[in-house]
Amino acid sequence: MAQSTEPKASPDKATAKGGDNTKGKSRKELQQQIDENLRRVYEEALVQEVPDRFAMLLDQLRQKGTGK
Amino acid sequence: MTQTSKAPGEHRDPRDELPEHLPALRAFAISLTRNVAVADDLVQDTIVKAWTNFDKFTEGTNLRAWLFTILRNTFYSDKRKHRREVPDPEGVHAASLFVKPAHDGHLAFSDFSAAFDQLSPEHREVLILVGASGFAYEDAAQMMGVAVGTVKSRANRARARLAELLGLEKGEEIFSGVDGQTLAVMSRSGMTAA
Repeated sequence: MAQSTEPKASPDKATAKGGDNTKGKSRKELQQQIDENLRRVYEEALVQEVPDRFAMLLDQLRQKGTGK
Repeated sequence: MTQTSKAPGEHRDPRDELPEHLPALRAFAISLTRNVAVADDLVQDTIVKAWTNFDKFTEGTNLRAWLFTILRNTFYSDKRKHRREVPDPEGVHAASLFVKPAHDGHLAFSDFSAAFDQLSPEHREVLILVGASGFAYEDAAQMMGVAVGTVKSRANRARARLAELLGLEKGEEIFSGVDGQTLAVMSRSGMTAA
């Protein structure tokens, strides 16, 4: 009944980890680096202050009462 | 992403929520166009279109995704209309237009930015949507009007193209020869990005 609580035997897991997986690993690291840099590209734009023209535009649109 | 911070009884007009999404919308526009002036015009057009079409927005759905969709559709239809490349005189990264192979073992951000600029808008779009702005593949698929599988394969091709532009082969050992300082910088940027 309580069999599922038994810890899973993991020797095969360990050998898989130790296998020569370096190619896949470095590829994963490359992906991570790319994703980090992508976030940085996006965040550099994200932290910029939004120009006032958009607040003014929203005020104008609101005053016109479009779509109300 | 889908925050349900709405208090019971409160019915917030999505128009009032629009300003909260402006920084993200603008960041997306800058990522697509790589030109701040062009991006701001695109954001302006997007706001006007959104405002006049708010009756088509389904309340309770992802407003940011809706706005992003309007923005990218506007961007591509403008591009079709004008059929010209927008020059980039004072562009985001006009100073760094060439990429040297990163065989010294790390990705310099200036090199990365220059490579990113050289991608097609479609590739920049998919990478920003799924890689940077935190949208799920399903959201991105809906925004881009394609199947989820297409988003994934496009994202893979875009990553491969980026790696190619950076002078990195797919399976290359990019960490060989990385000095401690670079590693520290990279792990720090990883922390702040997370």
